[in-house]
Amino acid sequence: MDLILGHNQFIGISHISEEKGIDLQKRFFDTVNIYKVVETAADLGYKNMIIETHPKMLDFLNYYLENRTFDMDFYLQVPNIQGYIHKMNEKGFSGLFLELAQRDGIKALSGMALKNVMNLAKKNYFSMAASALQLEVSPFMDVNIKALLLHNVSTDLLLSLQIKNAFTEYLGYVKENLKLNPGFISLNFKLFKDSFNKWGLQEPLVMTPVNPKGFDMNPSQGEVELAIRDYRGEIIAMNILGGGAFSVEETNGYLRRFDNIKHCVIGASSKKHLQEIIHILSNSYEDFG
Amino acid sequence: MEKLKVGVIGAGKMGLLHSGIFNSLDNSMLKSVSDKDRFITNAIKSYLPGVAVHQDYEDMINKEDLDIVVITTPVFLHRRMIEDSMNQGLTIFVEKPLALSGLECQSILNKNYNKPTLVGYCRRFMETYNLAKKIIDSEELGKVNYFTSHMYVSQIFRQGKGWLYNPKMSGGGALIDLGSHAIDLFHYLFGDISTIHAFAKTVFNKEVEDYLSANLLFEDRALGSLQVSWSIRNYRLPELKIDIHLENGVITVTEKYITIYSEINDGLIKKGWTTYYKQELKKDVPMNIAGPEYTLEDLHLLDCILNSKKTICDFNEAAKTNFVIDRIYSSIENESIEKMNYEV
Repeated sequence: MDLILGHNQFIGISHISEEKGIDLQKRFFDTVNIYKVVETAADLGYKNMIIETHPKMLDFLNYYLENRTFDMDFYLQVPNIQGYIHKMNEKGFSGLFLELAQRDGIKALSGMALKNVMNLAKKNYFSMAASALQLEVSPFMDVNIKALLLHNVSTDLLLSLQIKNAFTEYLGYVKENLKLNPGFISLNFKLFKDSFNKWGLQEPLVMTPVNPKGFDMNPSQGEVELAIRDYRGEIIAMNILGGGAFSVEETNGYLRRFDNIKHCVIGASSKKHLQEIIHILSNSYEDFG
Repeated sequence: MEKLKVGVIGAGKMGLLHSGIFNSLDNSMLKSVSDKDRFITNAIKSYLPGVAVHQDYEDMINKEDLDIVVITTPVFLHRRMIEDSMNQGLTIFVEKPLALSGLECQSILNKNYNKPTLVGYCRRFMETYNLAKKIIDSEELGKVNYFTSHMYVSQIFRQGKGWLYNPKMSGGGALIDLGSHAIDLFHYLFGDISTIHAFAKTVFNKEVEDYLSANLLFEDRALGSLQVSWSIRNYRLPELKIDIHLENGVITVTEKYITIYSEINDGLIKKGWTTYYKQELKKDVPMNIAGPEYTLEDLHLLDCILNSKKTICDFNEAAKTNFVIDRIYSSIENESIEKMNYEV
């Protein structure tokens, strides 16, 4: 089992409580503290980490590039949904895209009259979205990115509306233009798998919740279990500990049921917890294998 | 069974969310979307050719064969859109709050509309709060004596831009936008309010309150307090936390967990402390886009249509929140203690 270090704890996200989230924000306010935890994880044998295009993660990455006392590969999650939602609430869709278009990164559009930018955008939404994606990803490209993972809100919204073109365009653009391995995050694994099968698309890399209580395994734990068993793409199990609500032992026993889950994300932030997880999850898998 | 056809007015964050959910449920489908912004309607046209697109909501509700209309526009547009949708005989879902003011709610309620209606106070569909309700309703821990609560988020630390910060369009500030969730949940958990005394402070916004503190006395004599602000640092997501002191115990409840302290050992409740996280209390949903509560909300509406039931937060119920908000603003403006009069 390949253990991937999650990043939520470093940007103050706790699925348990806001108090814990605030404690995490305090603890990881200083980027050095993030670096130390990741360094400890690397020493213990963690080789991969999830990051997202969040300013805090960019600070960490820059610090990592300057110091680099260990090696780590990264999975990059896009887009920074909270940031976009905040801007959209203020400015609406047009305003958000206008802002994206006017950023320095989109050379072709800078200097254009607002009206023209909007007209161009109306003709080619995909190129606008692609430019936004490229702009968002570019500061993170100095490290080894194993895959780009599309945030679950984006994936699941597109899935709910069954917009096949958006999936094919994303897959193509990430592979061809960004030269990265495209992947997705979804809380609706069964629908995800069924849709890719229906569209005749190869089952891609997907990160999805797999845990003993069936939390966020939609539409039901049983249906997701069946879908996982005959999925031919790579699966990264997430929410395996329910943000701390489930024990490592309980989770380990559950994950052992699936021999095609080779990767899982864990969100530990102390040496003791990192050790406990790698000891239980990795050892058991070796025993099992 | 033929799927119920849904038309969505306003293709912002909440409009897209409900579009996606209704489109993925067994008993409903997205039929049409209307939005003034051509940028988004053109995008919908190119990616969803099967969905009819309108710039004008009246065109949509007049011309499309719809069963349900979902209104997710800024609140100052709600009343007119609701009343126009009533004239078309549609089932109506509207995002919270129901309208700008009690007066507008009264106009809506005067229509005596008999089709199902639902207002998007989504915390009624979160399992932590529902467990709190179950314990309170069962009276296993006795009656509620007292509660304290806050509803906080980190949103505004400079003058806000857009309709949300213009009281003519939003109906007010942090209270109506954020605190309305809390007031609605108080009705759900504790019943009707009898007396209100409140204070507010404006710091970042010129015209709407950023901080608010209210004391509330309930008809069954429970006493509670609410602190509301969208300018509290380090609250990445909105949190409604309520500490409820009952005769035989204490309940602390948020979106993410519920902790119960009990002095008795009775049925569901063990003596001492018990914590349940949302991860353990979860309900399966056929589709989860941004939280199961939104899917549960939409499923509830479909269930009420198909089984001719009233929803748990229809216009009559949700209007109560607007009436309370009006009285809170009166208390602040007049520096007075206000008696509640639910004009429902």
